[in-house]
Amino acid sequence: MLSVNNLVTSYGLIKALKGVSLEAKEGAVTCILGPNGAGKTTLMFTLAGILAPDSGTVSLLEHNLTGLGAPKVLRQGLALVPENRLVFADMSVHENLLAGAFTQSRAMAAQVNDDIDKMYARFPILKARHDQPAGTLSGGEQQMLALARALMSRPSILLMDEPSVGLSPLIVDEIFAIIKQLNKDGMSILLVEQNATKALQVADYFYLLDQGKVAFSGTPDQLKNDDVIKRAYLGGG
Amino acid sequence: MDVLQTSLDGLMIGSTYALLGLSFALIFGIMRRINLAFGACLLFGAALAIYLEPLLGWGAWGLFFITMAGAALASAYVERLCFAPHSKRSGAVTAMIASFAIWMQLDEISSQLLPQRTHAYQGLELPTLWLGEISVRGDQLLHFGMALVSIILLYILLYKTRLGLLIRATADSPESAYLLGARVPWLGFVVFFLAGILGGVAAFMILSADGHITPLFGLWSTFKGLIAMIIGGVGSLLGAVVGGLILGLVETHAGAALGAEFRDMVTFGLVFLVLVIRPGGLMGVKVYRTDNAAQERV
Amino acid sequence: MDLYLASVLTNMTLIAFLALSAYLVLVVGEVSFGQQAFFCIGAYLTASVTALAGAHIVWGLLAAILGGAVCALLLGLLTLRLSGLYFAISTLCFAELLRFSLLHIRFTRLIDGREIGPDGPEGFSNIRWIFEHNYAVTDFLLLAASCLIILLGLLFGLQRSHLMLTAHMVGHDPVLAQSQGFSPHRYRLGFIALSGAVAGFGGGLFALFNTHIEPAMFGVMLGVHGLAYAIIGGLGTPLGPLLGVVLDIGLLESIRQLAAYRMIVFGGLVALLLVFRPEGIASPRLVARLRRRWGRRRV
Repeated sequence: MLSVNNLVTSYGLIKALKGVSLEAKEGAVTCILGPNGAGKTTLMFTLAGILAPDSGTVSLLEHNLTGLGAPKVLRQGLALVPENRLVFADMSVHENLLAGAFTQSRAMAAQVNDDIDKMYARFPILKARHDQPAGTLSGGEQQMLALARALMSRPSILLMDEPSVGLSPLIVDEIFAIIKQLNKDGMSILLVEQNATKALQVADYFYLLDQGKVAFSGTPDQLKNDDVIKRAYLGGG
Repeated sequence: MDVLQTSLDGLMIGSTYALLGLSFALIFGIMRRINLAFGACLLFGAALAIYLEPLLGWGAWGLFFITMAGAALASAYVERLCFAPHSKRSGAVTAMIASFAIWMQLDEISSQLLPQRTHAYQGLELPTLWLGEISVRGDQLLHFGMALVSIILLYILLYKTRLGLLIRATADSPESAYLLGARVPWLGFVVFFLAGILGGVAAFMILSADGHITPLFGLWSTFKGLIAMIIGGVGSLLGAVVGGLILGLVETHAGAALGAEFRDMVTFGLVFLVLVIRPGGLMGVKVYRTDNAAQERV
Repeated sequence: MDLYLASVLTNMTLIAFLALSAYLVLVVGEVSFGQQAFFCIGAYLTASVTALAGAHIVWGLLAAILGGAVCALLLGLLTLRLSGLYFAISTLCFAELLRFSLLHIRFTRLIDGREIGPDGPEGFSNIRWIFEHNYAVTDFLLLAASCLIILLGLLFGLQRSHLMLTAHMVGHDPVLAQSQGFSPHRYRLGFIALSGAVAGFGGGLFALFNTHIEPAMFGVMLGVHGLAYAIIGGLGTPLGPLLGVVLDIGLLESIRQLAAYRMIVFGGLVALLLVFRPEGIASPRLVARLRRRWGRRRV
């Protein structure tokens, strides 16, 4: 569904992505692993239209997304949950969710309210806190809010940049349970993660990014059986 | 009785300062930028109105609409030329200096439109109201009402509409708003236009109450707006309104107690004290502590 | 030399001191709207020392330098925890407070049949030292220009020094500078005091040259012009502020017949210039590139 072809992106003079190609299948959880500085966040930003690639293409369901800019990419159905959550701290939870529906026109107001109710059903904690400023939520709750907010745009694929970063293990478990449930309900997900053990529990397919290139790709079984990767990422001897 | 009268006068003037402060707070809130050309935009609108008035003959309301439209257009022009090209974080000082250059430009254009320097600026003729010993000028009361209505309209726009949600989200975190599909550069334009309209309303109120206009009005209104925003707390809209009212009260009381020549001194002294003792202003303490607005270069 | 040309050049030299003082504050990462205050203090002190006390010009200028530095240091201490907008506005308030206070300071004495001394809004007239000592306009220009050149020479000498590099680092990122073991406060205060001294000195020369000063001359417009020159010129080199001064006064004096419309054209041009060269004409990047090229040729 999402196919990335030979993507090259640079920050000034430094090439952060040196020709990345990958494929995220419909209804699957695709996971990108990689050490710090491998270019994972650059990849996410390029896919979401925040950074413009030097060359290569990104396409979603046969639509070309390359170089469209974030607002248009989002309208095409690709939503990004950025790292470190970035909720609107001074606005209420409810307003944050409304903000997620920027792309929906006013005529669909009733539908927007429906969607918000669905989010409240999925994330009961957000309903309980709906009129609190988002800045007062805990890290885990903010992550849920950011996730729910991204879903408000009714994406066909959801990109998540390190959802587990800075959260306690219990909360991480909860977040991954939510990801699993979302996927079960039919959402296609592209996940960037450093926590390989956790990622193994949810992902259907893996890409390993190293120094701006895809160093490995395969199913969880192939990943588990690869000695080098096992040693480097799964902490096994 | 005198204290009451002075306070009432102060509130009347303060309501216009509140609008000026709000314009600054709007722009600073969403762009983290200072528009030095703000007062010059208002001056341009007013000068244009004076220039066109004899040709059109629409009277006081004509002045009102042309002043407002001229100020809003000038403000939008300033945004395109001085702020849109410097939207990066490092561009704050550059944008400010560019707006200073346009201040000079608009000042000069306005001076050309006002060849005699001091021109009459027609106000609305309304009878003065008396409540026992206390009097209120009819036009000032109307202005107070206009300021109140403007503030309420702004509140509705920001808190009850989709555009308002967009603006507030962008003020909170431009990166996230962009990710969620907001066209952030376009919003900057909208906010400058809005600030121009608010400022234009304030300019009409001040000038028609005074009955005349000089080219010095530009500098004067930039000062008042900035000061109202600083007293109230940078980045807080409510703060800007309160700050404007306080500024009006302080000015009239200082003028009544110490004489007109000490009025401005007291004002600047107050602002300096506020900055040194409580840099966040009255309302903006939270903003000052949590937000890094304070750390960012102007 | 043509008298008119000489006085234009002198004015440019004097305003260059103000632009340089704004530049020094920009180096440590702050924007000041209040450098005119130190210019003003320098002017009044030099006037008082030479005209009121009858001392030599050297003492007058020394007083201007010291006065400017001390006042700037005081302001720096008061605003130590402010930065960005807050600092800029507090300097503006400081300058305006000073200006309004001068409106109320009256201390005149009769010297040689003339009322001498600060006289409220009327200002300080008859600062006649350079006339009494037969300095021609060109002589004075020579004096002011050589002082400016010495100052520029000093700043150039320091350009690659440890001190200047650290100051630039403090300006760029105070937290980083602190983590490198430098005290941002100390550099900040030092440079603000230095900027006060430079502005004060310029103000002293201004008073001597103009022979009459009054509070209205030292309004915020003066300070913002100085700041604008520094930014337009660029922060890459101490010559940047000078470039800004030359561009504005020099270019515009030469098309005087357009005086009434000059700001309409010039204001727009400056804004456009900043669109294409946001870091000013002599931006740090351009200076670095020129230096590399020049260095290569020499090798």
